[in-house]
Amino acid sequence: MDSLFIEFFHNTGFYLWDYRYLLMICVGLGFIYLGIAKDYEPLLLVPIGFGMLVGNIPIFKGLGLGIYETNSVLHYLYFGVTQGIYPPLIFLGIGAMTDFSTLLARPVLMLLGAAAQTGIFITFLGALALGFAPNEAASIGIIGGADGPTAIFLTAKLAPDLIGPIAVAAYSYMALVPVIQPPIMRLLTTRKERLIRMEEPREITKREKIIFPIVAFLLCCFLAPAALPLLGMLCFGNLLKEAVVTERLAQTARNSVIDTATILLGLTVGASTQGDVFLTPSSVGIFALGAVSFGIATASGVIFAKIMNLFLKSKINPLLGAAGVSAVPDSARVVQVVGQKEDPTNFLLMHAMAPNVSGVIGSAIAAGVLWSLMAKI
Amino acid sequence: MSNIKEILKESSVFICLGEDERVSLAQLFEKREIQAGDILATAEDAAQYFFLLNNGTVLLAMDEGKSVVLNKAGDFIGFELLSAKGVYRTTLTVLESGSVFAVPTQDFLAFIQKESVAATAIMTAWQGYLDKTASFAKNIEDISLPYNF
Amino acid sequence: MYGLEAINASNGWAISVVGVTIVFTGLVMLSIVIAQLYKVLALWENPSKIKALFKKKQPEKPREEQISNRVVFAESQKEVVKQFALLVRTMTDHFSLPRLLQLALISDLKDPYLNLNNLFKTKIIVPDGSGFFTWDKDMFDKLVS
Repeated sequence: MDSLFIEFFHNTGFYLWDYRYLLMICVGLGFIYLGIAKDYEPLLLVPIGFGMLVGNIPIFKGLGLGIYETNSVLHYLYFGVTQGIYPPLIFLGIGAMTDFSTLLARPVLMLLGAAAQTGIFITFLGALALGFAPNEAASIGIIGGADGPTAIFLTAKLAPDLIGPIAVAAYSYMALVPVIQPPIMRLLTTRKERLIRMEEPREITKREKIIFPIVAFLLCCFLAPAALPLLGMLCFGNLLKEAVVTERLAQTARNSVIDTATILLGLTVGASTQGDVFLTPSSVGIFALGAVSFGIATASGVIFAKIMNLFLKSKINPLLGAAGVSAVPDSARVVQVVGQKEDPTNFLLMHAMAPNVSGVIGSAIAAGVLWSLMAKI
Repeated sequence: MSNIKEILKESSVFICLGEDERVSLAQLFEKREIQAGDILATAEDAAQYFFLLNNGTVLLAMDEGKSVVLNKAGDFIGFELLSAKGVYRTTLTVLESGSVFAVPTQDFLAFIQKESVAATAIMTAWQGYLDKTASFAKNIEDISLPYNF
Repeated sequence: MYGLEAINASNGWAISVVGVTIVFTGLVMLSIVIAQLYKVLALWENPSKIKALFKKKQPEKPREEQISNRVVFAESQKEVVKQFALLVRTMTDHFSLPRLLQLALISDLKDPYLNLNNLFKTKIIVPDGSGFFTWDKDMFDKLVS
């Protein structure tokens, strides 16, 4: 009987523990705390945080419990991440939620969404310089797109081994948008610039809204076919929303589908951060580069908005450039908050949604471009 | 234009009639002054009159929010545009004061049934008029026989 | 391999330049198309404008004549027309004229029948050919704003 007890004890987490598991459990608890207490992206941080707890219970191999064991339930759920299934489903839901009106009213703001994507490519260069392989560098660079599903999708295609650290870094920085972006925005703009008021957007007809997802899809996917899974689903979801006659499908996409995909993605990505696999020097490098990528993306958007002002008659508030990183709608909210600190009567949120949603399109195109270019290396 | 015979002559629906037919048809019409806001016909009411516009503007409101604005002298407001099976199917509201020539539906349909050659010409012209004026109204119900109105 | 050597070896500079260029090209193209989209739709909804495009200068004349032959809005009428415009904004792009009349009556607008007729005559309200009507904003701006 004693031997049974001893055998059982040898299989418990208390016996198998390792400081790396404990460290990751602490990180997971930190995520749950940030999500619940600080309200930072709770829909993502809570599932990821709990997933970290799930993934870092010390287990003995062979019973089919760990996410990296081929016969485990978690492994099957993780299949949706490694095969890039969940991100397009999330994009379907995002499309069914997103209103592109502000973008249609002032299409020039779309350029800010493009400018912010330069962060991706600068970080790509940085990652190459630090010794990462090109496919890994591309996956790290995409963190600057501030779009979790896109980062996971591209990493699943290019560097599946890095999904854990990249997903965690991407979502961490997305959650920390209110902390990371404001200092950069203030540093790069003058008070006078932050006080600029935007023109009232024109009214958008229903017909325009219906045509937009079709045109956007055809145009962008003809240009960058590799963006098809993400942009296709984004535009399809948006068409369901705007067509009105498909409201029931749109409801499902923006509620059941995206919620299910988010839960499964968050939990399994969290669970993939198993201490022994996750805590490596490359993970540290990824986190550091992710922060750089995010900062550069924000700065690129703001600087580009200032450059645009040199040519535009009707000036735009350069703070809007920061919303060019996707992180919908958090970065747009940050623009609103920073703008209102200077002038409480200046409402920038609606205008910031234009670069914000174009950032989603831009990061999906960037992911498609990187995927197709890396596939040829 | 205020003479019914002149208007019948100008109306694309009745332009095909011979002089004698036009004269006998003209006798059935009676001139009425109309004021903005007048309701000349109300959907679901018994269909008593068809109308030939002399001047002014009328709004013909159909099912499902569809409508047509008639404002040309000689515009004929009758047949399936206005009624079906003895009941008005549309509501006719005056937007701009003017005058119309009203013809009792029974008398008009009796005239059509009596004058078969004229009836064929009128119905053919009517289809052409309807195509130009309110083609969408043709799909409301497929009615081809005069007595159905 | 690290630093510039690693970037050069992986063709990093070219990939970055191509990547940024494609992202910009995609979004610039999209923004140009979107910027023109509502103009194309406006033409589509008012086929008379398309015809006018192909008639060179000739259509300008009759159009001006048509306008001057019809109604010139007095200031008080302009106010009513603006109220009509507000009512139309609450409706779909292709709206029902009887419904608009009904709303005008409920809203107690001045001379609703006459003013609705004027909107039709001035072609601010245009039939769409399927029994519904559209609002020609350009004409409205020209005659009323």
